[in-house]
Amino acid sequence: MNLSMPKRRAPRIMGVAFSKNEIGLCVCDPWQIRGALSLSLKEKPSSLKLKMFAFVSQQKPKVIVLLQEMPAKVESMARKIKTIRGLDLVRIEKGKVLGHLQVKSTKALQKRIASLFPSQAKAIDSDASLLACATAITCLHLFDFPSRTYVRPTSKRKNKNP
Amino acid sequence: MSKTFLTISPGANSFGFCIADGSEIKRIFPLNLKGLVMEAKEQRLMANIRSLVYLFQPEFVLVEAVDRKRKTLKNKILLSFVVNFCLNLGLSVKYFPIDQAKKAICPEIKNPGWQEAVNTISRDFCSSIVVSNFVQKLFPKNLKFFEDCKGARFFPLSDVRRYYFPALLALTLCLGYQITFNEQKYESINA
Repeated sequence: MNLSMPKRRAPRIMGVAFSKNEIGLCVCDPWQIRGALSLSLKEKPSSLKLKMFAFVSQQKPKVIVLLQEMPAKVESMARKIKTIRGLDLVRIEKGKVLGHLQVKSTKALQKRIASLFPSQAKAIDSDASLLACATAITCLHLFDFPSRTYVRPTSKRKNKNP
Repeated sequence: MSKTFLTISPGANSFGFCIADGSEIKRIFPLNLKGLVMEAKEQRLMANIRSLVYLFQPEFVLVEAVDRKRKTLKNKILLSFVVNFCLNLGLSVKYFPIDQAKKAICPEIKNPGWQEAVNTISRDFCSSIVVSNFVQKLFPKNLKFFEDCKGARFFPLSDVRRYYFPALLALTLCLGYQITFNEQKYESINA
């Protein structure tokens, strides 16, 4: 039987969080955790930047969600990604994230996310990426984001003989 | 005036629909798709959603946010199809997880294993007195909701058939969403 998958138009969001010298990145859509990554702040800024850009170009999010009170280094990188990739930037308080998911601490987040995404929660290993995942999920539930659109590919052939 | 919204919940072989605004549940119904080929399922879904949109003119569609790996491939395809169809009709789509809705309805259950328990006894949960109380309190116009089983509009929650389940989930999702985004109303109920 031949089944073709319709185009996914649900918004894809990247949460960025910071915890214990680690930056957590997580891209989610309403149905799936697409990918998660945790980076150490001790790494060189250039390699951090490269890894973040590689993650963004792999996962293709449309919106970046930042937790408030992030280190200046992380903020500047998020802004660079925003301007270069043309994404939207949203900020949210950590309290609002924990309140929406009805947990009191970051530790309880593991179980909560496991209940929301039972088959995928094991992939998230660090606290920072857990928090990033929670941030992205909360924003998906609380705010309206435009759905993804697909532009029809146009032929780029140039007419060499005018 | 409060917004009318359409809630859609997918099941293994059926879909559930619930239309409500801030004061009234206007319609709940299940759509059984068992035994149909994919094209027929898509046609049925399209016809149902289109007629609901023309009848009630909802402002947005609330779709169950599910972990898609738990569902079958056909189900994933149908859910994506429904979302795309709603977007093409010009409706905005919002996503809300059923677990969050259940937790909003039942905040007093806090033991760690409650989620598994709810998942295994979901049918009982949906038809339980907790949901029926909330329906009666949140939507006073539907006070006779559970007794009004003569017409085709509503079905009695005591008589839960297999394909009714997604409709009950749609109702749960609708209630959970109302409670989460309407906290003042919820507090007044608790008081």
